[in-house]
Amino acid sequence: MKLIVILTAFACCLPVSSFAQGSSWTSDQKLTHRLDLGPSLEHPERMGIHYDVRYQLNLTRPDPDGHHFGFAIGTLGFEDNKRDNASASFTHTEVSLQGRYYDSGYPAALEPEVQRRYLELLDKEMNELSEQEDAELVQLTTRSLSGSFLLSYDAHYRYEAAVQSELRQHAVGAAVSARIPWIHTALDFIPSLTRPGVQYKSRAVRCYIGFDKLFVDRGMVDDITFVENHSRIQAQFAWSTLLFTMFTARVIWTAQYIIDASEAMKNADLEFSNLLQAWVLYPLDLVSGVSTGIMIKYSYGRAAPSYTKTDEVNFGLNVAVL
Amino acid sequence: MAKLTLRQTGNLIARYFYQEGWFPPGTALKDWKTVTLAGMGIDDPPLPGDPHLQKKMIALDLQKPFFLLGSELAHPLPALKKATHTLETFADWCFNNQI
Repeated sequence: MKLIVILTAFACCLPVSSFAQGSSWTSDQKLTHRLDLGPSLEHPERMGIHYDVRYQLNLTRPDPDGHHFGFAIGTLGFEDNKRDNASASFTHTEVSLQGRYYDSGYPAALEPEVQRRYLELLDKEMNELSEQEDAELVQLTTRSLSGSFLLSYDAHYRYEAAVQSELRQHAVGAAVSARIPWIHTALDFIPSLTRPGVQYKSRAVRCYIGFDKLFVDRGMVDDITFVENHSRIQAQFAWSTLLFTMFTARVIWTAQYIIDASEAMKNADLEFSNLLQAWVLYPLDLVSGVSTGIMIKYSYGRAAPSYTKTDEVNFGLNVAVL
Repeated sequence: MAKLTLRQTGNLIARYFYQEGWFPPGTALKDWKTVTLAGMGIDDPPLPGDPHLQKKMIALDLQKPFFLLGSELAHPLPALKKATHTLETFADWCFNNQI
């Protein structure tokens, strides 16, 4: 509770701090919400409502380069259609101080003649551009893209609860997320052979790494109750690519390592857990915000909070409400 | 601050997504107005711990040229989350949300 009070007090001070007033920082605040009807990510056979309601306060400057800061409080989770032993319902309520570092790769300012020329070229219809002008516009636009880099980071308190594992715990920690350079080029080597002559830029691998100190009220997995406090490291990776010009291949790998696991947790094989989900989707249609496709999905491993072991292939229709 | 015109905004948005390789395979630059945000597969699949990481990066990538061209674009992340919108709708949003 002390941490929440400190974080909240800090956030309330942000807009009026001399730090904000001393430069061209401005603050904006918003309340956002999102409700989605669909299957649980961890248990696709379970339908329910995904919810995400949050209040965010951000400090921004006109120039997006550099460090920016914010504060967020919110709750997200999944509510199952059944409250039984296999329920996939969970809720995370979080308070966080957020930051990001962004480097566009552009210089701090454009020379006036370059700025004028850029605007002049953008003001032309695309089919009016000569080859030389088109190349010039490509070069001007590419200046900002080749070297851009984003690192998101936060310090957070989160209350985590899940029905199936009877989990109730407090997590205090920090996390970073970013795109990883280069790896996607190697990963995409074989998929790229399936689409000769197709213009496709392979997507970067995105990753999230977090550290949490956990204060457990109650947790139960495989009939073992654990209430000892412990620390965990979480890693997540997500990537997608194109196969044969018509299939989208997706991979998500999540892993968790408990640094100071108790004997009971070690005996229950909870020290390290990971879940690999890989699937190929053939998109069928996108109508009125509903995207459909045929999917074949492979899942292997086990993950918090339920730690249910999975090693299965699913085939079926994928329906996503966008 | 000067604002970009609707045509300048549209061309900037289209160029950015095209050159970054977000257009669906086989889609030409001239057809940019009909490309939907969902069709580009941004944040697909979502990273569980930061489901909008890629959109955040795109939002910043777009704010930077607006800033360098003498305008200021409101953070476009909320507009990027509207997956059913076309790039033309998104460009209209950017045009109307210059500060």
